[in-house]
Amino acid sequence: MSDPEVIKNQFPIFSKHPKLVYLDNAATTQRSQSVIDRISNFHQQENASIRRGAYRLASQATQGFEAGRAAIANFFGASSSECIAFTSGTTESINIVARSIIGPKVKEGSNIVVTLMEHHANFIPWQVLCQEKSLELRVAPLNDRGELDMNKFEELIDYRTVVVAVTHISNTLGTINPISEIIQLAHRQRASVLIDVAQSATLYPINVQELDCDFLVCSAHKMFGPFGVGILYVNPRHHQSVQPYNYGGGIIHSVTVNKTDFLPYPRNLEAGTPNVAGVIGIAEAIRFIQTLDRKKINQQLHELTAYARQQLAEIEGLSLVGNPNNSSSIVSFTMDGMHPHDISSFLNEDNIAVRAGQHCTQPLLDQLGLPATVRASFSAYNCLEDVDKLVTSLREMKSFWT
Amino acid sequence: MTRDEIKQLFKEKIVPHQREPYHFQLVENPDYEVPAYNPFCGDKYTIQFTNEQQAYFQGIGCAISKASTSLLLQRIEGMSGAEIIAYCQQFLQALEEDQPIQDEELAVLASLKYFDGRMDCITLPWKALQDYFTELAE
Repeated sequence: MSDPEVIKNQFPIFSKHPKLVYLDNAATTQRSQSVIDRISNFHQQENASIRRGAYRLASQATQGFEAGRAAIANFFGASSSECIAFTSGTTESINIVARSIIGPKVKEGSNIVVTLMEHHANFIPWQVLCQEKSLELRVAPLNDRGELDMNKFEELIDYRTVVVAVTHISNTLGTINPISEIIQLAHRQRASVLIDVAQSATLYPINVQELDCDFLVCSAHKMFGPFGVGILYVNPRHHQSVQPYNYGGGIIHSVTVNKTDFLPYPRNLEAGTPNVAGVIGIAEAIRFIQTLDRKKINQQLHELTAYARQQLAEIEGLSLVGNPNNSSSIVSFTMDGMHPHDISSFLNEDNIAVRAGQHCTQPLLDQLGLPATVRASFSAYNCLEDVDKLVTSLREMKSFWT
Repeated sequence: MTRDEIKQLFKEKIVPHQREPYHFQLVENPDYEVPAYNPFCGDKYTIQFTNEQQAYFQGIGCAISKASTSLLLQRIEGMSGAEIIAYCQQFLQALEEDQPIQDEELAVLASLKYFDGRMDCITLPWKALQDYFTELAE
């Protein structure tokens, strides 16, 4: 399946809002009917808490939850289900790596390398860890096109680098980073690498064993799945170093009044009753994604984004923010004399949903000298007509304002 | 009011304040300096009051927050702190409770809340001044 119209028909939100032009996929994607039905069925017919229930519903729910883990492991090419932990989202996954894996073993004087284009979720946890542990936070700069300056990046990684945390795709600029090269550079200095694939997990094939990354993080809700479920992949070489993140039930081997022994990763991260319906939902979303011809969709989206960039650039007074050679289906722009929030309000009047603001990348926008941008982000159900509607609305807005 | 009418009012009454906001500059040695900042969207202004009872502001933000600040400052010059608190409270309450607003320009400003998600843009300077002078009085 690759035809945007055919794919769109699988998403009921577009039947409810037939005029909706949804261009905010970098914030969250829509949910397919199959995902909605699967979650609804779970609640209506299968609901039970997992693990220690010796009755059929509990046992089936446990099997469904663990099947979800297996589906995710398979989707990302992990060597085993035991590499995958479920969290509340990308943000929590990154915090876990910072707090429960890297934090406990870092030594004063070490450094952590991030990039200027990181989402706050992959920036602040490292900044705070560095402040607490007297580490140096090194921020890799970008060139004029909004790409990583790989020479400078390489210089920042040295023998005292404990972790390199980098996004696969910039959620603001759309830049696709050369993650294989970054992982090789980091490993040469024995540094671990965290890859944030929140923006790429859905449509870009990712194989953690081929990449040989140390940690990989993403969120279900950007993958046609539900809110509130995050994925954390930890390479087996780090499983022994993972410490609990939340303390509570479900993560213990034994508890006495004096001492608790914990289960190994990934179970030591899943304290409390997990989001069972959410995990079953993301497993269904993975099944849906596997019905898509991702290669063809990526080609279509590449053409669609190139068309959008070209059409937008022709609007007088409009400036594209970032012009990376290797770009995903995310486009940021500003317009002279109009604030991004006003632009998005007026686009909303034409049923066009975009995002305006700093996109949780304040250090990047400060560097660019911009208070905010308008961001249009496309997914598998967007077509050229959506771009035309965006461009027409912007042109009309411009003549209305001036 | 239809949405087209609101858009027209926006163009006629709000956009001019965005293009040429009232007293859009900073002065040296103000009596009071009040930050108005919305961390969720990044809109950020500094509002100043001089001992000649003049109000000034500068900063970065959308047309709605900028026009709102411009309209507010035009109306409160010469007021005491207590009067500013009362004036801001009255507008914020009218806005919240959909009460009729006599002041024609402020009525237009209030109507912009029908743009989804823009309430904070309207209220930014009003809440900032209300909070600042309330804290000052305590």
